[in-house]
Amino acid sequence: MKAREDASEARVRYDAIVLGAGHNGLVTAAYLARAGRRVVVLERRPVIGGATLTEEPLPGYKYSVFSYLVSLLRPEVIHELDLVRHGLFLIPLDSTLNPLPGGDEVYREADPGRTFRNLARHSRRDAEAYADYKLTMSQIAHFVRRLQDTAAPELMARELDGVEHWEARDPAVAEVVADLGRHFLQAPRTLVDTFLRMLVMSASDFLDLWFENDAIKAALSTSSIIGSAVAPRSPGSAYVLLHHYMGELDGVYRAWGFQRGGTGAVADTLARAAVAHGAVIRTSATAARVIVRDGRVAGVALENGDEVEANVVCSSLAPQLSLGALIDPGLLPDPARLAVERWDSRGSSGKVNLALSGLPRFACRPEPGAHLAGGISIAPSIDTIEQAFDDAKYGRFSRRPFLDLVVPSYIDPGMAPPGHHVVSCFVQYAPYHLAEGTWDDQREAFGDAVIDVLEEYAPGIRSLILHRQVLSPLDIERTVGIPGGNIFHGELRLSQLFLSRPAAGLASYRTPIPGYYLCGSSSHPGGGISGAPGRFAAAAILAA
Amino acid sequence: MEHDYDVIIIGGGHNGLTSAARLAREGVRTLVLEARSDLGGMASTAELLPGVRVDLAADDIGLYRSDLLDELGLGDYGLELVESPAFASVPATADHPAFTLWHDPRRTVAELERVSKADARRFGGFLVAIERLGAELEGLLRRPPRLEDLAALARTPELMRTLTGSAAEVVGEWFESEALRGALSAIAVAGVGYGPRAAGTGWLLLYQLAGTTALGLRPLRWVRGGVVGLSRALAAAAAAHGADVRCNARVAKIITREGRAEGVRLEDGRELTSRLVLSSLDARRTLLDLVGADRLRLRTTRQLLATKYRGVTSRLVVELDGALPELDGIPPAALAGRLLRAPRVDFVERAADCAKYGRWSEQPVLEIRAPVAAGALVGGDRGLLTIHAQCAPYQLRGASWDQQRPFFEDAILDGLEVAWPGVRAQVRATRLLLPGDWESELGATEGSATHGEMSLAQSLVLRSPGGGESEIADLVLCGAGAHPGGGVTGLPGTLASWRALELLGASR
Repeated sequence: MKAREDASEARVRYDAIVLGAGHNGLVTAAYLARAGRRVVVLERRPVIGGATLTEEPLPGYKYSVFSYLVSLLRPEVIHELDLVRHGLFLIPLDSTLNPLPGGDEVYREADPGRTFRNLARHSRRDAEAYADYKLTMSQIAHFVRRLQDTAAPELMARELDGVEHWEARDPAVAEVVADLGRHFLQAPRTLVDTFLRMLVMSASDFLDLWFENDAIKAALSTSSIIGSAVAPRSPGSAYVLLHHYMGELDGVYRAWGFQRGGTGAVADTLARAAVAHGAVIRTSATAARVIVRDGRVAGVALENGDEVEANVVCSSLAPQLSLGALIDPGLLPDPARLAVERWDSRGSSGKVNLALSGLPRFACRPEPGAHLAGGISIAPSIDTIEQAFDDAKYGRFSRRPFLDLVVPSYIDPGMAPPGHHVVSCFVQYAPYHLAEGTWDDQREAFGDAVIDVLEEYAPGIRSLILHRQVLSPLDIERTVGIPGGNIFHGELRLSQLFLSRPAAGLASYRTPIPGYYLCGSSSHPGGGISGAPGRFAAAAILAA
Repeated sequence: MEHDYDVIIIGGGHNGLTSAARLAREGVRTLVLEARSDLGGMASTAELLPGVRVDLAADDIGLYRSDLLDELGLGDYGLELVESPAFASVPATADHPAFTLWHDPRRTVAELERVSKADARRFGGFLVAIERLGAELEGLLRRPPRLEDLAALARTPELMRTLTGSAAEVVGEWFESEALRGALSAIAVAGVGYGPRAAGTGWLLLYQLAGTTALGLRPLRWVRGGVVGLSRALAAAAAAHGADVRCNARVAKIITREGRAEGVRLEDGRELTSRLVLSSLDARRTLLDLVGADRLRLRTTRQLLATKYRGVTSRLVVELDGALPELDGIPPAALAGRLLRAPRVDFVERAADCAKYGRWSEQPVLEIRAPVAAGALVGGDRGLLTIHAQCAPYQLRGASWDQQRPFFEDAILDGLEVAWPGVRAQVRATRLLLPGDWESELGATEGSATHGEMSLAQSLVLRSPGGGESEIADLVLCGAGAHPGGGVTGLPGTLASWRALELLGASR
């Protein structure tokens, strides 16, 4: 959609400025506008969306350039912002195919009976364990949902024996904390133990509790690595698995959806909701500095010299910008400044988008069928994922990468001309830091490695390629503006979650600078197209 | 009912005996049953080569908390400690000269000056930070694990970050020298099959450095005559207060009735009754082998089977012809510490990668000790080295240790020669102990010296099933399989003795 570009607004005074027109920035703007605030969103790029972006580099072929699926979008956001009316149209992906070498496969379908039969071919025991596994996962996801649905409480630091401790700022916050504590302590101990283990253990060890077959474990472990610098045998990967299960609640199988028109259409929907409530969106408006006057926020200075005034500024940008380049870091307390310096947002993932002159035919399922409307992951064994990760640990892109594919045009014919298709390949691992050379030199070789793997599992796909777009973490950094190119704005690891996201004392969407707020994926509950940080930030602003 | 004893303790390792010494002092009628002919368990000393007595697994008891040791007055029972002035030494490479991390920080800083001026400057700050974080952690290690403590942990961001982060990050934030980073990383991941970049290895770094203060890295302590001396002194202290300590007494079964431990049956069929049973065996052996799965909830059995042991450490004993050769840049006094072959973080990481695929490391991380030079063992002027080498996974994939053993030993000796040029030509005899040997010799499941992997997923409240308390009443775990875990710390044994006193008091 077209956003307003209106230089004459340079002097207009707003109640609130939102920095960044990605999904979280737009959610914040929509909520603030809905509450009657005069809001302007300032977006650096000529288009909105951030990482939720649809583009047509080859006319007629639409790519979901970066993020490609929607699952974590909070139902509250959908309902409260009336997103369906504004164009949200999610088509569920209801199967996952994991092709194996030699034309074999692990195929999970919407129908549990069929999935049982498919898994039992590999292991009867595992097929039987699958229902129990899914039950445990939804129990834990429900348990954690409480944490995800709670805005990170506002704590303050107190130094004790040289170590910083954090305490609730006031009795209301203390009550929120106590309530979470009770939730935790009153749950069945086995559930709590399983949850705690999931925070720190490896996905591979976790899956060992249920499964014996390596191909099945590999298929299930793919959610444990997405977007993260871990492999299934890395401690901490079980949490990433859980994070990706949050969207899989309420008995809905694999509630990952595809947005009609690509993920850019999600941003358009949110922008429509915001504009309908009176928000203004300015593109090609790069913030240079947050203006602080008399110790509180007064507005934003743009790179072109304009100044936009407002008493509230909310940034959806990465911490290195929000709490670094855009402000005087001297305004932050030492521990927070250090945490921002140490913030780990090095990316591990790349993306290859393809325009094809026909449908890809997988060796395990050569004919078109329902599998093309689902997700397809190339991860034939735990070892292959580990080996791919080992490459990245030592600074090389994976020679034989892990791929997570969708064929959006099979689900939504509007994505490509008739008979033609687009394929989105999410790729790991692609380390931001290369030991040798630069991404500008190696981008195409990386793309070739992806096509080589694809060709093995979908013979003939190479000859169908009309156009390809290869994106490295460096490209994510350049385009979306996330330093390091991490798709979650920062690794999903314990030291960067909840009270420490993005830093202890800065987790409650508020900052030490009165009037300055945070609303991006680097705030609780983190990455994915959830809209949750944006919603919590808006609530914090409106409560002030 | 009249019991034979108040408490029967299974296993005469340092933890079981720590419990025994503490309980006996309180007037508790205590019996210790050790299956082997000698005490010590994972901290044993034996004749591994003809005429050469040497420690089998653990040797440094520097983690045994000084206050706990002092309370027991073990000096009166024959314990003689040899404190090393050095913590660890790093041999020279093309990139840097050899250097030693001494207990005395001024000496360390002087050495680091030659490696990196920046690291020398930051070393004091590192010690202060480790002391502060270590003091916070110590509180958690010294009491039974509770869920409530985790909430407190979540509110201490720096500790939380260190525990859940990686050792490589922690040392990377302090130091620029790869040699120093590699050395500290290797110490952190000793005993686990994870590389220093794995999340949760920060916890291991703090665990290993417990006792470090602004006044220096934690001391390394040897026991004169071999590490078994600690267990013997503990046994003597226990006996002086009336405890019975028996070797060659293998327990076949823990007798339970209605979910309550009532005593033990020995292999020879004799039964002994007690009000409480303490087991210093690991959780799986205690509950599955000695209690029996038929007495446990299915969930507990599953959890025990899912517990990860996965020993990855091997020990090579090397007897040399003649004395130890000189080591360039490392003074003889430093040999009381340990020499590390872990030249870079990536080197340690790559060695651990092998464990993931069930292979042994062609370039293993080595921790080389010289017990005679340290003054721990008497060996005349004969050169004797013990080398901890990682990774040697308990289970190899697609190969057996029977075939692979000599090749791995060769890889260790290759590494030794790089770290200490000239030594290899002097090798007269060797003896390699693999995780499987520790399992068969010492009863450690899968050769895990820590009685279960010390990953965060198996530590603190997650250390043993049900958070430390076994589901069998009147049965308490007192070994490294219980909180806080492995290493010669004295902590599991001490915590178990407190718990036993509580239980005995309640039933009095």
